[in-house]
Amino acid sequence: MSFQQRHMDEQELLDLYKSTKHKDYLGTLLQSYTLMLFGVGMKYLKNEEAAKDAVQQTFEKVLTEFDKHEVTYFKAWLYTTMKNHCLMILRKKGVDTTPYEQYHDYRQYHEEDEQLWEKERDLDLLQEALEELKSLQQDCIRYFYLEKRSYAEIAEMMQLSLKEVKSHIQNGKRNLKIIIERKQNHE
Amino acid sequence: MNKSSHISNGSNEEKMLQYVRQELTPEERHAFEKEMLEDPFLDDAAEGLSGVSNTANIAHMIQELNEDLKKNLQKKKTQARHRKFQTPPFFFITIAIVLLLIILLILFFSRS
Repeated sequence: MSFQQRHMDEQELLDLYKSTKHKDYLGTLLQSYTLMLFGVGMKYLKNEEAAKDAVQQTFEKVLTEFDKHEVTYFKAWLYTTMKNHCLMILRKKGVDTTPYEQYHDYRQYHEEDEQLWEKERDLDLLQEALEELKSLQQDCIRYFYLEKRSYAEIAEMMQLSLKEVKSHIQNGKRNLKIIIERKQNHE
Repeated sequence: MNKSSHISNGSNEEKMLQYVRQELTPEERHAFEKEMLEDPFLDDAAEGLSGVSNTANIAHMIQELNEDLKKNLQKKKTQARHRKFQTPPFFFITIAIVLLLIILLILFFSRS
């Protein structure tokens, strides 16, 4: 199912729920995200039972509180709801959640990415920008985007952990965008 | 949960599970990771699922969560139906007050 197709189906279900108030529609939507919600729970809570509880609590929250919110983009809203719930559990345990509290706006996320790879077509500019990146970021970006290698392959080749590879790619991508924008403004 | 089951995310779920179990080809793995970089929800989920000690249990746990969700929805439906057919207490209170007023009025007029 493509992103567009999936988004349309979600929109149809949301519209059906809003017009009928049948919670089965919300249930269908939720069920299609159970695995991802459980994964998010595992990432933050690092415990299977705690992650399962957090998913159930998020289900309940969505079923009882959905009508109080103006939700237009269900997936982003559900992710934020689950993540915030996990962070709240961590804060109650006295864990510092500051490193996790980065807000992602999905539309902005996709637009930024599209813009970046539109600029990728200008290969000379991309090449110049790549050379300005720090060495590790540059290598990770080259292996990932140009040689189409997986995190695991890059980690093995560069003797890094998977987390480090992912972090270099994410930061490299962000820096690449900044450098390309700066270069374009100078032109 | 028979309404709109067409949104079933089976193929995406399968891909995610294959990724976590390291069953994807290098090309598929790269494509999935590229998708992860563009989607923070997918990224967090894949990272979290990779931390599950026994990945063979994941599908079973998801099934359990979905069964609980179905039961919860069914419970909410039954509660809503009960609420619909249950006469609210204020209805009886109102009737009692009106009857009392009528009796008082009758008594008042019959005396005068």
